[in-house]
Formats: sequence, structure tokens, C-alpha cells
Amino acid sequence: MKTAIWGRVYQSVRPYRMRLIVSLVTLLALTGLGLYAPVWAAILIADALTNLDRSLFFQCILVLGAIRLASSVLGFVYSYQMRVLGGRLVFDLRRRMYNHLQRLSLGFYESRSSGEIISRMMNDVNAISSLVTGTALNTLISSVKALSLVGLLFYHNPLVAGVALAVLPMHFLGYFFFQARIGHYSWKSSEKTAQIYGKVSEVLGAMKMVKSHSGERRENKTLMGQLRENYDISIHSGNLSSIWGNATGNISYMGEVLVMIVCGMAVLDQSMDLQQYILMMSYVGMLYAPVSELIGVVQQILPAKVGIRRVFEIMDLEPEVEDRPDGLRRDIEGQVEFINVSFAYGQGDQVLKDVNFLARPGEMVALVGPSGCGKTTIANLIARFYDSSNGQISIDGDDIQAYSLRTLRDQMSVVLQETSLFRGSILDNIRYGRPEATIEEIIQAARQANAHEFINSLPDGYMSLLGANGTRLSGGQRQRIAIARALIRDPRILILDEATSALDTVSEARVQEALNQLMKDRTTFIIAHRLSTIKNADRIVVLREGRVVQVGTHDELIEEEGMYRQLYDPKWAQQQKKERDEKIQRQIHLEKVA
Amino acid sequence: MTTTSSRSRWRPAIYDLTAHFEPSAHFEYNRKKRRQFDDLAKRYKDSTWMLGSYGGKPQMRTDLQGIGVATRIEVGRLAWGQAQRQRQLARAFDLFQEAQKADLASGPVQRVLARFHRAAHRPEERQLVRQAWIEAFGGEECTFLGIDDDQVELGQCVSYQPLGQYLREDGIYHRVHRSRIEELGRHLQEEVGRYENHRFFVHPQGETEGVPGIEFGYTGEAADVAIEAFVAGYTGEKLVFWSPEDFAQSRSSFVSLKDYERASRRFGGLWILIGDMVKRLTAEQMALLYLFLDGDQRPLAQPLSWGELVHRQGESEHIGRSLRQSATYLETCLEGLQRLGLVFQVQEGYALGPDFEQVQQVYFYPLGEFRKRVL
Repeated sequence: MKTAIWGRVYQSVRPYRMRLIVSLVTLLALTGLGLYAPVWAAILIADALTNLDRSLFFQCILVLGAIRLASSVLGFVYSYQMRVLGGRLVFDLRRRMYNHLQRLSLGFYESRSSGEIISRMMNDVNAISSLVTGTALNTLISSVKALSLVGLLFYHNPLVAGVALAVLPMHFLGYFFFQARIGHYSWKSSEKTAQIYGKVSEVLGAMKMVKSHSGERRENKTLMGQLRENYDISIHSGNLSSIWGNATGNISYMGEVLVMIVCGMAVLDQSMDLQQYILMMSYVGMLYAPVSELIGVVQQILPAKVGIRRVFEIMDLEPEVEDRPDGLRRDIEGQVEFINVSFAYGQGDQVLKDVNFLARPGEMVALVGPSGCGKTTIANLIARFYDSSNGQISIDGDDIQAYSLRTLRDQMSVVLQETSLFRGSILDNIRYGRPEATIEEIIQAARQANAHEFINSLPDGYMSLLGANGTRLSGGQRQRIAIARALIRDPRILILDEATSALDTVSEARVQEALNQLMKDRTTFIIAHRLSTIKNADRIVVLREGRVVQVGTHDELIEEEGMYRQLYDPKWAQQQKKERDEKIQRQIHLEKVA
Repeated sequence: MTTTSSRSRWRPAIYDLTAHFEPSAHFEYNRKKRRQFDDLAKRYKDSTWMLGSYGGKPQMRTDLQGIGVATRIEVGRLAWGQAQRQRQLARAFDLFQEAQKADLASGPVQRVLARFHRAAHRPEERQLVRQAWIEAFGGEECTFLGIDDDQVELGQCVSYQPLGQYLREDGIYHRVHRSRIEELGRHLQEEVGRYENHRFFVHPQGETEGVPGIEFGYTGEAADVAIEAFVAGYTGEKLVFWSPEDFAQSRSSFVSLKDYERASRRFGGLWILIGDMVKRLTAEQMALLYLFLDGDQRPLAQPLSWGELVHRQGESEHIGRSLRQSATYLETCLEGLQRLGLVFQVQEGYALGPDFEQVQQVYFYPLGEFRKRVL
């Protein structure tokens, strides 16, 4: 898993490897210059000043100045490369993630809050960028620097090198103790941030409901609790990092003191000269800096790893509905057949059980039944938001899974009870159904949807702006815009899922008129409770607990003693129940007497 | 051998334990609760020497679950010797119970997770966790569900029948009764008021012409003619009354309607119990298991070579037509079955594991759900 993560991070960085190499070379040059400066500083103090050598003194100043200037230039080049690399990485990953999110099936969105997904896309993606730009190269450079310094120390004085390295195991111990805890806090922090995003987006989206239930205070309290927890987590995590950082500093300082004692004793014993002393102390000072940097890098890597895992967790999800690359791409007539179709959401109960029915092209099929009987599930399967667990759904005689998803959905429209309108003009909202539609076609669709009149009565007509959910329009008006949006696609299969359930009688009549237009010459599946909406259907499929219990027209079904009549003839249903209960009571009485 | 075991006995072990409590929309983790929990945490504090992901001092966190807030207690335990481990773990479980009893958590314990090194592969360590759980929760048995290599979830499962029996469908659970069970269940739900104070169940019978029979029963204070008559009138089913004493005595011979429905399902995957670990067998993997069975659906004595498997796959009626020729399907499912420990590679072939007959079809309940389960 670990290799997989780093391998995939490399895959993300790969397109920019040249930039990375340039950055690396720049950084190496910077490091080299950093290592070269102490040599000249030591010459300046020990040779030039001690021997009063004026020309060597100025030579040292010049070289040190040149090193500084070169470091500045290289520093700028390096930071520019890193900025570009970081920016490109974030851009690429967000693009890939957004593309992937669009491919994921509806089941994914039903199980996660939008805020959580946004948090992963916006916050966690940054982790990869900061890992590559801020830490990966530093790790490499710090390691190279540390190894070079160890080599230099051994070259100059193996004893001093041994003493300097004696404290290194303590750094490893620090890592061993702190890494799991800090990693866990990073995970918690990311999770909490995602929860906060989720909560805020949920509450803002349901503000009307919150206000109508005087829930503002309660929501405030909940969010404050979460914010406080996030604060606690960050403080705790910060404390841990700080303790680790301090421990690292103290360990390094201990090493320096040890070297100082050993070298000082050597100078006093005249076995080491002053120049060497200064050089040794500089190198030892510089040796611990990369070690501390490495520890710091690890502190950054731990949260970055959490972010990377969270990003790849989403990217690794396979869409439940597979889109075959060689799927059929052709116009459909609209014959839909369910053959022994069963379906269960995940590992839950079976929602559909051996469903069989046929809808011929151009027919209007109504799906009726009590709540939870599987009507919407059938609609979801026709639109291929999910795939059936068993059995087959065929469109024009071919398995629905044999079609390319795009082909299928391009020839299908769904109108739901809850209408989603985007922030933008009415024109753009209708055009969303078919982006290449002309103004004339849009007006024509709006006319057919009974929406043209009210749109024209608005001050800006078709250019009127709508809020995120079209709040300035009534439910019926929004629904008619949704119907216009469906009409403009000229679909072969139309699914109306409780499209008029939330409307009053007047609005319903207008929307119904629009729907009648929309349903002409298309295979239509209509899910509704109102008798007025379904009684003209060519075929009514009555469902109960996921099974088809009756199929027929309204006139046929209302005559039969069955579920349909129970639903739409309540007086008859009550009478039936009463008679049945009385019969049972009589039987009980007889049994008691006997 | 002795050296290794004595070394492992003294090797320090770190356990990260999490208890998730049921969410509540009215729970407030306010200052008072924080203080009270802090007092409780101090009593259960036990240093982990900075090892593991959690600290030795318990921490209470919250999770937003819809409009509810669910609390979660996290605590780390460091045990130096084998003898200490069980006691340390039991103490952590005591903490969960105490937090719940003191009303500091949002509700009763819903899930408990234990994380330790290679948790999914170390049955002896899991046994310690299990013993500690029984000690703390008064004899309640538990099984484990593997979350990942290092993490397991404690839960309880209801054992239905051996997996072999499920595949042959010759146990007490049979699909032919599903519609009757659904019908009765639906009627009981529609007329809740009429049947309150009574519990309904299935009493599986012996075989009738190859298919096991079932009888519906109910229990309550006394037999009720009206209940029997209404059930018969609406569903056509005859109910048999069992007095609470008789019911308690023969408890193991009754199955809840829900359990019978779950156990007799012929769609989707299955939970299976191997040792003390519950694992998920997908529908695709299950279809592949049939390749290792003979005409009577009994395990084949001989291992199957890759070629034989491909041949049998092509002719299997349990595998979807579109997958019968797919080598990828065969490869991935076989790999999955090997990971589950159901299939083993023997020389050049593959065979069912020797313990295949002991594998049970079960239903895994997280702790909270098991409590709500009604027979």
C-alpha cells in the first residue's frame, strides 16, 4: 500500500519530471554553495585575519559575496519552479478528480455529503502538491547534505564524526514514538474539516427548513461544537509537533555540545588547530540542520499522506454502473422490457423481485403502488443509475448494459418532483438539456411546456436570472421549466417521477397539459399517486413490496379485486376489509361457541 | 520454539480501541460533559509511552451523522506482558460501559473497533480481546469482522447453516418459503396494533419431499384465537402457539422471520464465519465455489487444474453467461477465494480448503444492531 501511494504520487508528478530535475539541480547547487561557504569563512578567520593577510581577506569577502549572490539567483529559480510545479499538480489532480466524480454512479452521491467531497477535492488535493514541492525535494536535499557532511567529517576527523553521529539514534527513537500519533491527528483533522464542510453545505442548502423550524440556534450550537473540536485537534496536534521539534533541537544541541567538548579538548591539547576547530563546529552545526529538516519533513509528510490517501480513496472508486467502451451507439425506438429483474441496494433487502413487464415504443406506462414498493427503483434502473442484481432489462431487444451510457441517456429525459435549476438565466437552464439548441427551439420547447407565457411576463424574459434553486419562481413554474428542459432533448424515453405531486390543482393542470405534449410519441414511464395523472396510461403496472401484482389499463384494473382498486377506490377497500374482519370475527365466535 | 513464544509473551503490544456510540439529535457535548468525561478519563489514564495512534488517556470525539451527533471514545493501551493484556483491554471496555452508564456518550455502544499489528491474522491476540470483552460485558460472545489487516470490528453474529448446506440448499432454509415469510411479515407490519405483545417466528420442520418444511409460531402471555384467525384470514397461514416456557426451552429451534428471510436469500453475497472472523463472500465468488462441487454439490475429492476450472466455468449454470468465458473473472474470484481461505493451491491445481465444511453462513451484526434484533 505504501509503495502504491508513493508510486501514484510519482505518476502524478511524472509529466513535470523535467521541471523537477531542474529544481533538483538548482537545489543541489544551492546546497553545494551552502557547504562551500564555511570553508571560506574558516579561511577568513583562521588564515586571513590571523596572518593579517589583506589580499586574502578581500578575496574571502569577494568569494563569500559571490556565493551569496549565486544562492539568491538559484533560490529564486528554485522557488519559481516549485510554484509552477505545485500549481500544475493541484490543477491536474482537481481536474482528474472532478472528471472521476462525474463518472461515479448515483449510489456514491447518496452515501456521502457534498461538503465532504468538496473538502477532499479542495483541501486534500493540496496535500500532494505540498508534499512534492515542499517536502520531497527537501528530503532528498537534506539527506544528500547530511550524507555529504558525514563524509566530510569522517574525512577531516573520524573521532569527531563518530561523536557527532552518536546522538542520531535518538532522532530515530523520536520518529518511532511520534509518527503514529501525529498521523492519527492529521486524519482526525481532515475528517473533522470534511464534516464541517458537509454540515455547512447541508444547512445552507436547507436554510428555509432550518428557519421554519427555528433551528438556527441549534445549528449554531452543533457547528460551534464541531469547530471547537477541530480547534482542540489542531492544538493537540500542534503541541505534539512542537514537543517533537523541541526534542529534536535538544538532541542536536546535545550533539553539538559533545563535539564542542571533544574538539575543544583537542585544541587545548594542541592536536587540532583553530581553523580545523572552526570548520568542524560549522560542519557539525550544519549536520544537525538537515537532520532537523528531515524530522520537519516527516512532520509534513504525515498529514500529507493522510490527504493523499483521502484523494486516492475517491479516485480508486469504480463506478457501479460500467460504461462499456464498445457499447452500442444508435438511435433507439423506445421498447423497454423487464425480464425477471431483481434488485437490492448494496447488501440490503431486495427492493425488486422478479419484475416483468413490457413497454412498447410510444406507450405510456404508469407505475403505481404504495410508498416503498419499488417504483422509483424501476425508474432508476431504466435510466441506468444502477444496474439490476438479477434478470435483464432490454431496450429495443438489446440488453441495457450493451448500450453506451451516453447514447442511452442522450435519448432519455427524467423529470423529478424536486426540480434542480442552476443559478443562471432561464434560457441557459432550458438549454442545459441540449447546449446546441437555438433560441427558436428553446422558445418552442417553452411553449410546449406551457412556460412561454409566464417567462415573457418576467421583466427580463428568458434572460431572467434564477437563484441556485430558482427560488423566485413558484413550484409549478419551476416544474414547467424542467419540462421544457426535458422537451428540448426530444427524448425517446421519458421518465416522470412524481413530477406533479407537489403542485396545486391549477398548477398541476397546466403542468399536466405540458406533460401531455411531452409524452406524445415517446415511451413514457410515469410514477404518480394521483388518479388523474395515470388513468390515461396505456398500461398500468401495479407494484407491491417490489413485485408486480397487476398489469392492465385503468378500466380493467378498477374492476378487478386487487391492489389497484384498493389504492384508488378507498371506499371499496374499506368495505372489503370490514367484511373480511367481520367474517373472521364470526369464525372466532363460532370457534369459541364450539 | 520456546524461546520465540517466551519472547512474544514479553513483547510490548499496543492496542488502539474505539467505541462508537449511537447518534442522537439531542445530544450536546457541552462543558459539563467535557469536565465529567475528563474526570472519567483521568481514572482510566494509562500511559502508552507515545506508542500507537491513540494516547493512554481516553478522548471523546464526536461525529456528525445526519442531524444527529454520535460520540466516539478512543483509547490506547500498552501491555508489556501477555498476562497484562487481557486486563488492560477489559479495563478499556469497562471505560466504554461506564461512559455509557454515566450518560456521557450520545447513546449505547454501537460499534467497537480494535486496532493492533496484523489484527486480522492473529487469532491468539483476538482471543485475548474476545476474553476481555466477555469479562467486561458479562458473558456476551463476540466475533470479529476484518476492516483491514490491522483493524477488526467486534460484533455478534447469528449462525444459520454450514456454507456447504447453503450451496446445496438442503438445510432448513429454503427459497420456496420466502414468499410466505414476506407475506406474513408484511401483514404483521400492516396490522401492528392487532399483534402487539406477541412475537412471531418460524419453526423449521423436517424435510417434505426434499424441501424442508416450516411452521409459523407465536408466543406471548397466552394463546389468542383472534390472532390465529386473523393471520389465517389474511395470509392463509396457520399459527402454532408456544408458551413462553416452552419457547425459552426450545429457543434454538426457532428462527426469526427476518433471519429466515436473510438465510434463504439467493441473491447478493453472504457473510461467512471462518474461525472467529466474519468475512464477506461476494455473489461472484460464490458462483465460482460451485466449480469445486460435484453433481450432488459435495466438495470434489481431487484438486482442479486451471484448464479444468476454465472448462467447468464455461459450462456452469451458476455463473452469468457473460462471465463464463472470462479469464479475468476466474482469476480475480479465485484470488479472492484464496484470500478468504476457502480455496488453496495444491501443486498444479486448486482445491477447497480442508475446513470448508466448518465454514458457516452467518449474519454479522455490529454490537448496537444485535441488541435491537428481535426474534
